[in-house]
Amino acid sequence: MTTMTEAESTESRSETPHEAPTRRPLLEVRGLCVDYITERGNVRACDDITLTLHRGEILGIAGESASGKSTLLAALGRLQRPPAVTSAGSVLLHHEIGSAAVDLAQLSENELAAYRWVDISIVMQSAMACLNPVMRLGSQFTDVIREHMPAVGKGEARERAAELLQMVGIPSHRLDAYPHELSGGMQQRALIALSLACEPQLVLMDEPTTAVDVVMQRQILTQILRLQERLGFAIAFVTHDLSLLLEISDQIAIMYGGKIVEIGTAEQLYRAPRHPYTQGLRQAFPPLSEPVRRLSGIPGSPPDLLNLPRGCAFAPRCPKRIARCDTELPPLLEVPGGKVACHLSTPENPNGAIGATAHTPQEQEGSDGYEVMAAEELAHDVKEGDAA
Amino acid sequence: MLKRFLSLGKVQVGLVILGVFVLVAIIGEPFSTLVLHLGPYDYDHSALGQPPSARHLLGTTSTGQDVLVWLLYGTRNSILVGLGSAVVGIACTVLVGLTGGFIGGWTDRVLNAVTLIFQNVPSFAVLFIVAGFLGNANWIMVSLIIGFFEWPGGARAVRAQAMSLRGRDFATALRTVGESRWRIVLSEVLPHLSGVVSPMFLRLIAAGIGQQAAIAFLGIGSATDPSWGLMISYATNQNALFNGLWWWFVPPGLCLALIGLSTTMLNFGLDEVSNPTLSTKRMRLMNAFLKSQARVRASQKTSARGEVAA
Amino acid sequence: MSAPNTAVLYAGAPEPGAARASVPRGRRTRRNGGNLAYLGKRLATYAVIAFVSLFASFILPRLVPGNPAEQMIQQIIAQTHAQPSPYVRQQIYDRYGDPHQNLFVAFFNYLVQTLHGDFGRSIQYYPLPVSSIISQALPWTLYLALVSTIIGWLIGTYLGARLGWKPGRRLDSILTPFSMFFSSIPAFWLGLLLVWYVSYKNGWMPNEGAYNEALGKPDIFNPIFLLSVVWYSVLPMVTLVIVGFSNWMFTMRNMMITTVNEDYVQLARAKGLRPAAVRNHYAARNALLPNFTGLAQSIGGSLTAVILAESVFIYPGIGTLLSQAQGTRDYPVMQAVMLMIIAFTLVFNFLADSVYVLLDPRTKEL
Repeated sequence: MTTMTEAESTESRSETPHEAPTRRPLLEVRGLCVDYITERGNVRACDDITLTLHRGEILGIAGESASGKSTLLAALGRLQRPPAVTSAGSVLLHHEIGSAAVDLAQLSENELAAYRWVDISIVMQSAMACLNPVMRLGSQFTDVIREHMPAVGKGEARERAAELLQMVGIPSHRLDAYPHELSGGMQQRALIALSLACEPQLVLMDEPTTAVDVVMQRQILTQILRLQERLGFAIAFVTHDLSLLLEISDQIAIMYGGKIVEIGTAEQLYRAPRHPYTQGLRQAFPPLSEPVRRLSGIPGSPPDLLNLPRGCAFAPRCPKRIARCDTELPPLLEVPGGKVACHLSTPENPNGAIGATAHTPQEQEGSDGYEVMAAEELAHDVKEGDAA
Repeated sequence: MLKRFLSLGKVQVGLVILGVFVLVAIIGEPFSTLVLHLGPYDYDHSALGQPPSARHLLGTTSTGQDVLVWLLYGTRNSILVGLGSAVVGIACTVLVGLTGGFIGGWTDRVLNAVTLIFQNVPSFAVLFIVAGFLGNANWIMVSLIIGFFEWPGGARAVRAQAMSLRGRDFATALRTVGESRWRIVLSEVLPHLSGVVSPMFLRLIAAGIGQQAAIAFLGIGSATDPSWGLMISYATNQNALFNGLWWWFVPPGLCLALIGLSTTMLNFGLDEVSNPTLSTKRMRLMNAFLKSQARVRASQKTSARGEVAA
Repeated sequence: MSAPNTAVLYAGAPEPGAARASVPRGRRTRRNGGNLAYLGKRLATYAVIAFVSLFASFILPRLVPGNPAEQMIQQIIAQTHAQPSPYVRQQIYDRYGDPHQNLFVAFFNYLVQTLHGDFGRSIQYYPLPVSSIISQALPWTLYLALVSTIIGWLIGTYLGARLGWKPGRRLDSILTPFSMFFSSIPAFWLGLLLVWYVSYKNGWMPNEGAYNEALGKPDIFNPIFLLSVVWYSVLPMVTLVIVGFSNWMFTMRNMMITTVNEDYVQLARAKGLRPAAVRNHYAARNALLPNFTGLAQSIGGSLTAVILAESVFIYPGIGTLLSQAQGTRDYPVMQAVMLMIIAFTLVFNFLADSVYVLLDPRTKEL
C-alpha cells in the first residue's frame, strides 16, 4: 500500500461496516485486571473486565474520574505506563478476519510493536502533550509510516502524511510546523490524523475532545464519526460524558470503582439504564435531544481503590441500596441487551433497579475528599508533577 | 510526607552521617582537651609523621601534631561554614524571591535582573578574590560570600511559587478578610516554600563546606583555624604525599566526601518524596512484578511446548 | 547555582501544577525574530554582568583596609631595587586606588586598559605584563576544562540515559549510590590521592607538569610532544571526569525518568516504533535539552574544579598561576584571572543560550 486515495480506502474497508450485522469480533477482553504498583501495595484499577469489541463498532466507556476507564483503555492496547501493569486476563486481538487471535496480554513489548498502530492506535486527551515538542509534525507522521511499511520511501511517506492532514482539514504545508505553532484544535485534529496513519482496525480515544473548546469539540467529533464511517475502523471511546456516548456508540460500558457495573447497547442504556449508577450518570448528563429538566448529580465521591467496600463499591452512594449491597459483591449478570452488576436486577427481573424507590442516602462513608486518592488520580498526579 | 521521607534508606544513612558530624562539631573540642589532652597546636616531638597508633589514633603530622585533634577541630569549622552559608543563602533566596513574587511590578523586574546577574557570576572566583584581598577568610566571611552568591536558582523558584500562591484561593480569601500582605506571607506562604528551600539548604551546606575547603587548600583562608582544607594544604606543602603520610591527608578528604554524600542522599530522598516517579522502592516493586510475570509467561510457553511435544 | 541543580529544584516544587501556571510553557508562537530578540536580551544581560564585574574588581581593592597600590609599589621596589617607571606607577594607581584621584577618571582608565587586554604588570614576575603570563597559561586551562567537561558530560549523559530509560535495574542500583559518593569527592583531594598512589608510590605516571620538559620547547606540530601532553594530562583529566560525570548522570537519569512518562513518549511507544527509536528520538532527545544547556554553562563553572586540580598537579594553567599569585600577593594576576573566569563563564553561558535556541523550537522565556 503506497498512497491511499479516498475512493480506495473507502472501498477496501467498506465491507466491514456493511457486514456489521454478522458482528465479527475484533478485540475480546477476558477477565482483564490492571494493577497500579505503589509503595503502599498494589491498587487494582481495573478488575475482571470482560467485553467484546466488534469490527467497525464504537464502544463507549464512561465513568467518573478514577473509575479506571482511562486505565482500561490504555490496557486494551497494553499501553498503560508504569506503575500500571496488566496483572491478569487476556486481550485477544483478531488481527485478520478468520485468523487465530493473539493475546496482547501475553506479548512482550517487542512482539507488541508489530500490532501497534497497524491494528490499534490511540488518541490521548491532550494533543499538546502528545506531540513531541521538538520534532516537526511531519517527522512524527513519517517515522511511524516508515516503521510499519518499510517499503515506503521518504517522499511517499511525506505525501501520505500530507494526505492524512488534509483528511482532517489541515493544509499540508503544516507538516513543517512544530506542534506549538498549531492551535489547540489543530493539534487535536493532527493527532487524530496521526492515529489513522497505518489504517488501524481500532482507535482508542481517551477523552479526545476535553482539551478544546465546546465548538471545536463538536467539530472534531463530527470529523471522527465521518472518518470512522469512511474508513470503517472501530473506536473505543472514553469519556465521563455519558450523553455524548449515547449519541455515538453502539455499545457502552459503565465503569465504577475499577469494575464494569453495566454494559449494553446504547439504546438499552438510553431507554432503560439498569444500574443505579448509570441512572445517576444519565441524570447528570442528559442527552441533548431530551427536553430540559432538573439535573441531579450523584452525591458523594468516587471510592478509594485502596480501600474498597466489601460489597458493592457504589453502595455507599446508592440511593436504592438494600442490606445485601453492603456485604455482597453483585456479579455482572447477563440480562437482555447487556449485562449489569446490581442486586436489584436479576436475569428474571432485569429492570429491578428501575422502579425501586430511592432511600435517602445515609452518611457518606469514606467520602472525605482528601482521603480519597484513587489510583488513576495518583497516576495523574505523578504525571503532573513530572511536567512541572 | 515526613514519615515517608524518614522511611527511605538513603535518608536514614544521610541523616546519621550528618548527625554524627554535627555531634562531633559540638563535642570535638571538649573531647580533645578533656580526653585526649591535646590541642591542634600541641607538638609531640617524639612522634613526627607517625602512622596511627594507640597514642595518636590517626597518627601525627610531620611536625608532630595530632591528626585526630585537627580533624575534630576541623569538623566544627566545616559545620559552621556549611550552616552559615546555608542560612545566608536561604535568607537571600526567600527575601528576594518572596519580595519579587509578591510585590510584582518594577520591584520584581529589578530583582529579577539582579538575580540574573548573580546567577551568572561564578561565586568561587569572587570568593577567591575577596579572600585574597583580605588575606584571610574565616568561616563567617566564607559563609557570607557563598551564601550571597549561591541563591539565584532558589530565588527564581521561590518567586514562581510566591506568584502562584498569591493567586491561590486561600491567599485571596485572607486578603479579603483584611489580613496584611506580609502577615499572609509569613503565616501562609512560608510553610509552602519548604519544597524549594530544603533541597537548597542541603546543597548550600555542601557548597559552603566544599568551597571553604578549596580556599583553605589553596592557602587563602585562615592559616591558623584548623580546618579540613587546611590539613590537606599543610600535608601537600610538607611533602606528605611524597613521604606517604596518607593518614594526614586521607581522613579530611574522606570527611568532606562523606558530608557531601550525606547531603546528596538527603536530596535524593527529597526528590523521591516530592516526585513519586523517582521512587526507587516503587521501581524495585515494579521490576520484581514484571520479572515474575515474565517468568510465569515463560513457564507457560515451555509447558505449552511440552504438551505439543507429548 | 548550576543549571542541573535548578532543574532538580523545579522538579522538587511541591505544587507543580501551580508552579507551571506561572511559567509559560512557550505556547505562544515565536519565530526566528523572537529567538534573535531573546538572544539579544541575554547578550545585554551578560554585558551588564561584565560591566558590574569590572566595576566590582575595580572598587574592591579600594575598599580593602590598607593601601594595596602603595604596597604593590613597595613590593616592586623591594624586588627590583629600583623605582617603577611613572607609567607603571600611574597604572597601579589607576587600577588599585589613588586617594587623590577622581574615581570616575580612574574607572574610565581602568576600563580602557582592561578592554585593551592590558591588566598591568605582574608583581611576582615584574616587569612581565599580566596579559602575556595569562595568555601562556590559558590554553592549558581551557584544554583541561573543555576536554574533561566534555568527556564527563558524554559519560554521564550516556549512563544517565541508560539508567533513566529502565530505572531500578541492577546497573541503576549499583551505579547511582557509587556516583553519589564520587560526586561528593573534592576534586583536589582525589587529585592528591592519585598523585600519591599513582605517581609517588608506584611511579606509573608523571605527578606534575603538562608535558615532558626533556622534549624541549613546546611544539604543537611535534607528535611526540602532543603524546606527552596527552600522557601528562591523564591524571588531571581522570580526576575531573570522576568528580564531574555523576551530576550529569543524575540530571539525565531523572530527566529521562520524567520524560519517559510524558504523553509524547508514550505515544511513540504506542506507535510501535523500535525501542531504540523511542528512546533516542523521543525520550533522550527531549531529556537531553537541559543537559545540553548545562554543558555549555558548566564549562565556565568547571573552571573552579580545574583551577584546584591544576594546583594539585602543578599544571601550568591559570589555576597554578593563581595559587602562585596568591602566595606572592600578586594582585594584578589574581584580578586578571578572576576577570578571565567571569568572562569565560559569560561566553559559555551565551553559547548555552544559543544552543538552546537551536535545539528547542519553543524558546522559553526566562
